[in-house]
Amino acid sequence: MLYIINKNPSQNLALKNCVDQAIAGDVILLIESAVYAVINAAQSTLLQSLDDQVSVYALIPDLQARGIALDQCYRGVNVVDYAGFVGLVTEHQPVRSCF
Amino acid sequence: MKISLQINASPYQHQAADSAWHFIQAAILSGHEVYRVFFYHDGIFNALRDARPPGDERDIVKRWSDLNAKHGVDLVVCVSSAQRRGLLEQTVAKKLGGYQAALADGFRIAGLGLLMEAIIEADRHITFGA
Amino acid sequence: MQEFLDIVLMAAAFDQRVVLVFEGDGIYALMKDQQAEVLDLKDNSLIFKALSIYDINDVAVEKESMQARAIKTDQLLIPVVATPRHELKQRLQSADQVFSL
Repeated sequence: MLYIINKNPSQNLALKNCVDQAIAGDVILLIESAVYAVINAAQSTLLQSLDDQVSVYALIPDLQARGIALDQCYRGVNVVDYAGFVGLVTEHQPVRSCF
Repeated sequence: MKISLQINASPYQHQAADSAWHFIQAAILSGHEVYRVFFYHDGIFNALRDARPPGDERDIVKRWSDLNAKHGVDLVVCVSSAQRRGLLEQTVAKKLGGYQAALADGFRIAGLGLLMEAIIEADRHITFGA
Repeated sequence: MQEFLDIVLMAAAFDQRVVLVFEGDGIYALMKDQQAEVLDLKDNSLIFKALSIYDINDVAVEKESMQARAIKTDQLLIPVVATPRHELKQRLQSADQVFSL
């Protein structure tokens, strides 16, 4: 399953719920304000609790728009542009947008 | 691959319409077919003809109209979501004495059945929301 | 909520097999004795009670979410099965489409 999360995890539980549910083979894509979750500080503990078999991606334009540099990102996070976003969507089924 | 989208949030206040638009550009560039964009909930505010953002800002409504004109993407606004929020299709507006020119170019107003059809027909259905 | 339920009912009308899952704070939507009229809101409980008319009989609540909120199934509007998270996950995994509110 591909989870798409768009909310800042400090304001909304969507990412936490998703982390609780994700199983090996799942992919989590962070877009919009959800990209704040990747900042390598207190908040990324949420991502650190994930199974190694669950991959996490952040959308590059959303990082850039928020002034988040790649070297600020938690090292377990992969990054994609919109073409990569489309690729993730075509490679996974089902896709769940979480709000 | 056939991809359909659903926009559940109003433009400018939320990023959904921007994210969806950028996603669609990339999908088309990658050779995918965007089967339909269905505007639901406050997403119907993406279809207001008279939106006039300041000149130095992106014009979200125009982006959608252009997408329809250039790529033929089917833009469908949910009739019940729209009527609840004061957006009427021309013939309905005429009948009810409402504003007849509210809907921007390239959009059509129709029922939820078209959302279901899109979900069933498309290989993927992606929701962008608030 | 009303508009989300419209999608649920429409999917059933299109002969799609619908599984309705309540997890996290979503289970609060099923609380008994909601008095929508106090705030002049539409009473969604009628739709929940009518789900079986639309052949939507597969309604599950996440067991862990119920426990975390100290809510028991008899406090909910309709009969539901409290299902463990990992089982719900397996069911969602096999769905063609997943809609979330």
